[in-house]
Amino acid sequence: MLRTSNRPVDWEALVTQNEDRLYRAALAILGDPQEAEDAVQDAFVRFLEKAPDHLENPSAWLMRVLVNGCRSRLRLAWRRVDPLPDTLPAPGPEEGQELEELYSLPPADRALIHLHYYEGYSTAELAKMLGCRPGTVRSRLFRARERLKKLLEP
Amino acid sequence: MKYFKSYMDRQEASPELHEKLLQLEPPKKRRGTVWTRYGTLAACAALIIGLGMWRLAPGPAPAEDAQNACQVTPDYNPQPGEQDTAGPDAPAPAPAPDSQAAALDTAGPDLKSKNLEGSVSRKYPGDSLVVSSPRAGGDVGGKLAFPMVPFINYQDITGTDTVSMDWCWAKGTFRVFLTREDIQTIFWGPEGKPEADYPKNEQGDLPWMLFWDGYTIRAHAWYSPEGKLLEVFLTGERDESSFELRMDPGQLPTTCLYDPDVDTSEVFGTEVTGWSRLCDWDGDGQDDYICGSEFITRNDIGIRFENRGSSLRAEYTQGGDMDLGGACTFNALFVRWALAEDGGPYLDHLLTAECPDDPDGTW
Repeated sequence: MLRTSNRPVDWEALVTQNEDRLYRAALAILGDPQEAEDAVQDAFVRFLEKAPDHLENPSAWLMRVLVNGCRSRLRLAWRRVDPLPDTLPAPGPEEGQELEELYSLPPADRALIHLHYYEGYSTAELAKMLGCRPGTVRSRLFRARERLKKLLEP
Repeated sequence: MKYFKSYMDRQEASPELHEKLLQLEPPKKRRGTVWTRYGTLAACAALIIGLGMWRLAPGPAPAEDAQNACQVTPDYNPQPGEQDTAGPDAPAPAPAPDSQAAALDTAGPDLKSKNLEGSVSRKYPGDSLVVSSPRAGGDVGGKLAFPMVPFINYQDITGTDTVSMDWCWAKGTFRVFLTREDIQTIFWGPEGKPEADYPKNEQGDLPWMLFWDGYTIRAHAWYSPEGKLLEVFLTGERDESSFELRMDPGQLPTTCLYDPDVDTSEVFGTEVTGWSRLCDWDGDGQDDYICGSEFITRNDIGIRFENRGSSLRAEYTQGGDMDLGGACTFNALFVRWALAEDGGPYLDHLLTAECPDDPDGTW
């Protein structure tokens, strides 16, 4: 089906409301600001190309596309993100340890931690976003939490 | 989490990105020429016609010292830890459950060493089968359909720390080389291959959706001293591509290369562990793409399937490398077949075997 445009009427509002949260998620997963910006741009391009009409929650759609795009980037780049990549913007003196622990997680777990604890997505929402069962999300979160006990202490 | 949150709160998209995003425009819709519009369909149709049917053809002439297929080989007496030299193309035997030690190392791909050493002296005593497309290019009335390729997260484990297991088969374990019929039954079940959809067409002797065209297939089975099936080990080779398929009744094959962080994906409700790695498999100075998957089928067969490259070139993920994508697609097509309701391996015809008379002839 051909459509004349996928661009929402208030494109600027969509960009403004989502660019930073998408960028932070991409940065948490990829650990590289430049790659994170590329991933964000890809997500918005994909929105223009592929987003269904009458999307109920464009922000959630964008986040799902972004996370999938980040996974593809990690897989295709044949690499892993090292603990505390030197490409990250410098953390403050007290932030370094938490960041280092977060980046020691596998990318999938890191994404879950960010989306659950920073973005506030529920396990059901994450399951829908990532295409797996809520139980799988919960078990992964549990595993990640076990590894991040120190990080998650209040 | 407060420091993580405070750090993330400070991170913002750059003004340059903001401007770029605001300037994005919907892609212009354009109708391609008739060739671009139908080119993909035509290519797909040609591929399916070419690969639509399969046949197992006799492989290379049997070795002079080869025994009849599907019999024990008392003349073969490998020692624990010895490199498998079973045939010029056959990889080493699979790891056994009686592992003796585990040690952390950063071992590279275990399969590489298996295939490089000691691979010239012994001919394979079992049947060698070359999967072929007998009527490629002919009017075969092939199905104009492409199997759905499931998405599996083939997580990159290149260069990651692994646990390497040192093991050997238990004394008295023996192996049986499989015949062409044994192999076919694994893939078609006891009923054999189904009737062809078209009278002029053959269904093929292996499910065509595996895309194993041109691969030389060999297989043997390992049995406990009591004659109980431990593992079926099947290999395929085509030019620079190859694969290994291990199937254990009731459990996942014991692995000698273990990465505890490898992720899982769901295919038809079954958890599949997928991984990929990049290594110089054959020592030619060129890196090879390796894709692997591990899962348990609905009929309780543990599977470990690992392929080096493939005969396919495909875009497994948008914009991805075609060779890597081909390797992933090749692996995922097998997973799809193994977990589909109308597919999956059958091992019941191999569950038991008689121990050879000469116990010294066993491993």
